[in-house]
Amino acid sequence: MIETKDARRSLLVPKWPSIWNIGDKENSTPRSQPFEIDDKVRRGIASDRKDFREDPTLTRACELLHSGIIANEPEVSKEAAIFIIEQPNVSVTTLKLAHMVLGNSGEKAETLLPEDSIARTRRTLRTQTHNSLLWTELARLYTIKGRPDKAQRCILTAIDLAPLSRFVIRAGARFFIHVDQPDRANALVNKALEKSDDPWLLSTQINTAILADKKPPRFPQFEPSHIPPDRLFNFSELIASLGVAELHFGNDRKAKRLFRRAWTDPSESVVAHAEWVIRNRFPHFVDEMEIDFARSAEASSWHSYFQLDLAGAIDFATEWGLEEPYSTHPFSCGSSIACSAKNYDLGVHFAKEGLMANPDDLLLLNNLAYSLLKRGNIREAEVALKKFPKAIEGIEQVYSVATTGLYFFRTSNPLLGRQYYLRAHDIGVAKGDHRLAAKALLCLAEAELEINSDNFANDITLALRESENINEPSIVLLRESLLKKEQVP
Amino acid sequence: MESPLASRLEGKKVGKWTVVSKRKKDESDSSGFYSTCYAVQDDQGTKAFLKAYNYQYAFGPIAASSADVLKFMTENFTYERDLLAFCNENRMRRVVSAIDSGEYREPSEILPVPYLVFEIAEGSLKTINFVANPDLAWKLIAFHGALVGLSELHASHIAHQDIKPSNILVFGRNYAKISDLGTATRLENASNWCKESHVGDLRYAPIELLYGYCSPDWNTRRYGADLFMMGGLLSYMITGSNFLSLMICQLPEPMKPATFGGSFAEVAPFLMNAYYQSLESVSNDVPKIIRSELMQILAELSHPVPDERGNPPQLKGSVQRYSLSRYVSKIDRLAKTLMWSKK
Repeated sequence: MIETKDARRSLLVPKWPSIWNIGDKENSTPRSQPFEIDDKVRRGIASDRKDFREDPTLTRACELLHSGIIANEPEVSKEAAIFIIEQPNVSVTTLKLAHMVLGNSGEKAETLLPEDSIARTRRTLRTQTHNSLLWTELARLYTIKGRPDKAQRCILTAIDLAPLSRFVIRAGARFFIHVDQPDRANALVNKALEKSDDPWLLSTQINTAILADKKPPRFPQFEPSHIPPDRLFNFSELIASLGVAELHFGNDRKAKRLFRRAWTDPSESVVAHAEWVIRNRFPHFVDEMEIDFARSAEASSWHSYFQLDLAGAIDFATEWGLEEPYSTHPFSCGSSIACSAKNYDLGVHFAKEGLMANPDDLLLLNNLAYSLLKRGNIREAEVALKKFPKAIEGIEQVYSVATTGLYFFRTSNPLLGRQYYLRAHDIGVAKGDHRLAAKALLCLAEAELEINSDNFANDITLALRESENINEPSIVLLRESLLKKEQVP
Repeated sequence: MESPLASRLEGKKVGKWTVVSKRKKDESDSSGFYSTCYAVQDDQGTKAFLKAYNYQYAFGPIAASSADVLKFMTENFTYERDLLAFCNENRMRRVVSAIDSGEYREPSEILPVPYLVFEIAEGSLKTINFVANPDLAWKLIAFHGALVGLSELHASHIAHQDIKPSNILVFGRNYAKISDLGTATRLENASNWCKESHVGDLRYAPIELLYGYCSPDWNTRRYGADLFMMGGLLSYMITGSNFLSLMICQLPEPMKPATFGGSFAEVAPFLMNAYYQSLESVSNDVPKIIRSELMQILAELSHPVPDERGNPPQLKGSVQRYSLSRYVSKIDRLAKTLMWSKK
């Protein structure tokens, strides 16, 4: 039985982008006053430009190129750069600078495989020992490779070098959340906030506190309605996180008010979270709020999945996986969607990709085993099933027991398989998760159908009845498929 | 409207000097800007350079009150004049000194024109093409001269604050001196420029100032700024590009000074990354024989964090953080190494 981690998306966890892709507004603090150069500089540039036009030499072009860059006058620097790239005997550095100004350069480390990137980053760090961003990048690469021990050493070095950097601290918090140490993530953010009042860090503080089972901080002095519209983006994650905290305290009315404000000019992470809030908590917001889910691959993936646009959802999940290769979420979501689309090869691919960074993740192992069993790779599926922990607690039991049931069906032991499926159903009921319990029954009916068992008629009636009002794509699609089969004599 | 007297001195006799020509004619002269420069000559045929201060600027269309601007201008003139006299008295060989000063008056004009006269140079590092194909050895010798000039100033607790190619003048073939103390300031006797986070030309300013950060410590703020500007000059000498523009181009768009409004501590990691990338880029233009040492100097001078700039902390005790003596001797040696390697 496949499953996703949709239920765990109730918090706003920061993304951890590669340092080669930091171009978004989420890592910036906009100026409150526009950048202005003084009269003297303006006159100097005008004079240099006049000199250059009258007698264009390389020295004058270099001077003008420099002035245009500092004064943020692209047309000035471009004029000089066009001249420079045509000249002989230009230094490598100046030529490269001129090409950058003209937008002709674009080397990105992300095009390399993680192994190559790790080797290259380590090599660079030998001379750039104080480059906290590069240490953060190395930590990210090690996390993607499934080496949290090495990643931790790197991220701690980065934090030591830049204890007040939003980017580094949020990356650090994301790492500790990833390795299931939310206490440490929370402590890290708290420490940075002793000397900072950055809204993005405050947002992370709230979410890590909830994750660590601590009381999230409240800011009674902070009034979101007083934030001017042009600063709202910068505060959107904090406002949405305050909404999360209110939901946590059970104050839905206040939460709704905060979400409304946050969604006026939301950051990408707020868009992704909004998709979850609207679908799971406040469906009436669909008509009330206009949120462009296309701004977030995560939101688009879930949105398309629930619209049953499986091809679109797979594309967005692929994009999401590229953005957050260290996370389990895009891969558990991707493998589930692929299996719902009966593309089990892709299901295997998604699960394997996710397991690279998270080799022990039970849900990904489960989805891998399920996809492999559906594809007929019993031996490989056995390897995945053997990696399941001995003692599984919580709702994880439901899908892991159900998938074991499928294994017995596929290895010609339908009786035992049936017992496992029914046990999965009972665990779901006992845990109060009727969605998972119903899904276990649907999967049992599907398995019985595949072997033309006599039990199919009874099972399908029960499964359809239990899953009647559940609006979850994998259940809806399973029901549709079984209903079609039921009608065939 | 008639242009101010300071802009109309061509052909006149100012003290013992005959004004030959205006050094640079641009729109700022006719609009009555702060000062105007002239080529002058005395009766013995000695050529010099005259800087005439335009007090009329204080009465032009400017935002501040005329009295305040006039006070500011007179203070600056006397400060620069006295500073130059101090440099002369202390025999600072590598600082362009004033050879004359005074006030020019005309009966029809209410305001006098104070002036300073300087020795005339072959050119500045901005117009480096006056030397045929300057090689790196020549450039390092010129840079060495500027370093010596700055260390002479620092030794007397004077921070220059406006180091840029046009302020490094070359006399004879390669004798470089540092010039223009118009925005300089002394530790004991602070100028108007010391009251705020100011440097002469924002285009060559230390990067922290572009982010509005200014260290509370005078040494870090002033000497640190001079060191950064020297680093910018060194990178300009090696590659033709100032280190400041190299760094800014390596920054992601939201982190550039024109867009970023957060704290310096927040942007510092991005500056460090840009700094390392810029160093890597510049190193491609340095001959292997001196690469490691020259890049080390550039790295120390151009460090984006002012507290980390200058001599490495492990040398503390024997060498002061912002002392230039180590760089002076190293650059001298590297220039000679390059020359010998060519021979």
